[in-house]
Amino acid sequence: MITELLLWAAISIIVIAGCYNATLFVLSRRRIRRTHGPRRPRLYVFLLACLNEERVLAESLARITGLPAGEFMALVIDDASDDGTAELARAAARATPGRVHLLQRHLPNARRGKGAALNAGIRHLRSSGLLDGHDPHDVIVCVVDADGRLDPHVVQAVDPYFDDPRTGGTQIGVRMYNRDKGLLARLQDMEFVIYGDIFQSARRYIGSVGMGGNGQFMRLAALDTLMGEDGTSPTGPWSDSLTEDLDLGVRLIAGGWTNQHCTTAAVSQQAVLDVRRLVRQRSRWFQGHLQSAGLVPLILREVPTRAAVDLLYHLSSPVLILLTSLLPLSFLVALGGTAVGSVQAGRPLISPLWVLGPYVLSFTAAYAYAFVYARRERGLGLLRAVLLSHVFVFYGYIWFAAGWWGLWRMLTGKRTWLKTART
Amino acid sequence: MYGKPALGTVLPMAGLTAAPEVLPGIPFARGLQEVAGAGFLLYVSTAIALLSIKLWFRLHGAGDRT
Repeated sequence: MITELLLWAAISIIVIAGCYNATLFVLSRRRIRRTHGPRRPRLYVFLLACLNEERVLAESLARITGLPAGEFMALVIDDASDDGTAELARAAARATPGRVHLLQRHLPNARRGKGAALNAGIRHLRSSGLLDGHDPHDVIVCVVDADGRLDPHVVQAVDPYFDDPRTGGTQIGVRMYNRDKGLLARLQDMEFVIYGDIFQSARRYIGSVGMGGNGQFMRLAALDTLMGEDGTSPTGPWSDSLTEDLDLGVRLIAGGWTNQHCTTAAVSQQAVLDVRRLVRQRSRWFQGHLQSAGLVPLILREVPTRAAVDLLYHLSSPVLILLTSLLPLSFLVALGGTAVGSVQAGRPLISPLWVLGPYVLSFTAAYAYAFVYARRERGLGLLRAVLLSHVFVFYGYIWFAAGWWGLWRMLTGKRTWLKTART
Repeated sequence: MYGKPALGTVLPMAGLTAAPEVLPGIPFARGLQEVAGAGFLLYVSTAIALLSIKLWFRLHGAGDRT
């Protein structure tokens, strides 16, 4: 009896996750009506936290300085790079006066994580007088990775979201600019499109849109509210979590701000082209996600119920991933055992249901993902998108390896990570 | 987390609920699924506790803006 209960409980993990995914898919297909306030001119400040980014920084800065926008600037925060990152930023500053600024951090105060670098950037903006004369409600800070290539129309796409005075942050879509460089890059592109176009889009209705760390626009006044009641927090709005973006998005919602997701603009970043490095990157994200469990009391106290339920599910998803990882292992062991048994019995013992049942449970969602991805990637075609999304299901297994690695690092007290190297 | 899309699309050993024990490896496979099931029941219990606390906060008007 207990055995039966446990076996069906395991299957319930899949059923519940499937129901959640299906609900968000339906929600994501609905059009959303936005509240508009009066249009106001706004200053856009692009923050680029850089540690040895000479391979990719010049292209990103060229994209930013070429934006057809009004008032904007880029602040390169060089986190004690060993390479030519700072010199590249200086050259860009000379070429486009007033558009590019450089903040150089030095050891031992540098290299303390992305959150610390971004906090230093905010402090520098204040102390340098670059924001003098600007109302914090009309200053939009955008975090861009050093390899981030923003769509040219990004400011025009994002700006209307900030007409609503309650909007604290707006996350844009994320794509891989090297998605044509092999299957692994293509699958990462698909992963980010599906996450943005299904999950983030649906979470606009729930009020639980997350921030993604790249292409993340925030109202300065909203960031100020995360710095303590007196606004004199010695650190800044970002935490030292490995997933400081997730952390910040939740704290914005808890602070009464609305997070938005913009589907009409994107930032393109470099996909990881090596499985081992990809698993390591995801392990870091997984460990950061585990650290974010500390946000649960804040969510329970301060976040509206509907958004709170979704955020609790979101924050607990690492637990579900670890539990789910046992199921394909179980399947493989059973399949192997049955194959051996078939040889011993001299007849096949595998029923057609063994194929049909797992296929329906495992790959039904692939058709929805293919539909969404094919709309973004018109040249791919629906049939190829369907085939690709079947591979994408297996690609998701990377999270199982990453999850156990991240858990191991957490249990052994390891918190430092090397950033993912550019190629 | 970006891995969420893949969460509902694993290969569950649904057939294990009716699999014969005599086949090699089946007890181990069943054990893995039982561990996952036990973990999920613990997860659900924790979730119910957390949602109860959230409900308590809501009923007492502590911080909930809905």
